[in-house]
Amino acid sequence: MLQGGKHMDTYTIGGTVLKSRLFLGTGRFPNPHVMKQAIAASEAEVLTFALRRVQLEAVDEDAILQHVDGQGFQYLPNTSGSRTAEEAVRIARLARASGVGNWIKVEISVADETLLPDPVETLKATEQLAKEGFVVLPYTSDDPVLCRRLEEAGAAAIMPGGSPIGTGLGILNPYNLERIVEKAKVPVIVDAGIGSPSDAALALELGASAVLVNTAIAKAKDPVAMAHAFKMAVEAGRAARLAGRIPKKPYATASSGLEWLVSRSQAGR
Amino acid sequence: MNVKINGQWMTIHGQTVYDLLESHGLEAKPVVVEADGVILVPSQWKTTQLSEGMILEVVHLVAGG
Repeated sequence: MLQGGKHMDTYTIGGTVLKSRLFLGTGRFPNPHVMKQAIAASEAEVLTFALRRVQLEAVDEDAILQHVDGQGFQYLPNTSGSRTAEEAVRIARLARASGVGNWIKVEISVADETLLPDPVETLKATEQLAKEGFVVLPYTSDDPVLCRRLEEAGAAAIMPGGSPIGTGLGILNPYNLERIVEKAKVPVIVDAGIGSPSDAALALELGASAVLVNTAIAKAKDPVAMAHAFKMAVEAGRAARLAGRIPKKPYATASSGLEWLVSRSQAGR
Repeated sequence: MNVKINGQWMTIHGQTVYDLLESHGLEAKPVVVEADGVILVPSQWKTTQLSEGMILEVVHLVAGG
């Protein structure tokens, strides 16, 4: 991605080298055709899924792998729907048994309108699943201390939420995200709440390795065009991070120098 | 015999987990089966006998974030 192609700008999760800064969630698309086109436009390498019971009366109704299989994607199943570490571990084991690899996004949500992750259960599940050899990516609240604890528990990447799932409120606490990035030795993937490409660009500017986006693309008026917009936003955000933004200052600094100014006092001489 | 599949009691005629999956057209699908809390790999489907009151979960990956 760097100009001149001197070296590839990549990052690594659980031994897998990734280039794309965009993880794509596959939920809530209008239909599989639009989803496939959006996946292509996003240039995402990591796709997320959920695990659910087969509807025995319509066994192909919800099946998803038929639409994306064999294209080299890294699959990231989640434990959505779980409310305890025990339930999340069970879902993770089932997901791994489905043959999609050993990555798991731990997602243990409190059952209320915020869907915020349960920090205690998330930590427990992360510890257990890391012991069992999973590549664990916990979805967590954006607390710097908790993120460090998750890393110590064996998380291969940490996924702080920008704001609650599906809200599109963006990154509510950029300060926390910066503190998390500063200390993390594993990639930080901002998950949840991203509403627009500018939110994604900000996450990358603040030092996140990538963002996970689902609703903001799937529910856009034109999901395919929005997937493309997000692809460009993460590239811009990453490029800006590498370029190094200017520090924020309270007062103005003229961007035109004042030497050799055509001075008012000298006018008419 | 009666087994509980995905939360529903059903009366079935097959002998093995494979028979049960085949009767729903699932024997070649990327599904995961858990029988009485134990995850079965596909090679165990033909060798795992169904039994009265068995609790089965048949799951797969679906769209999600």
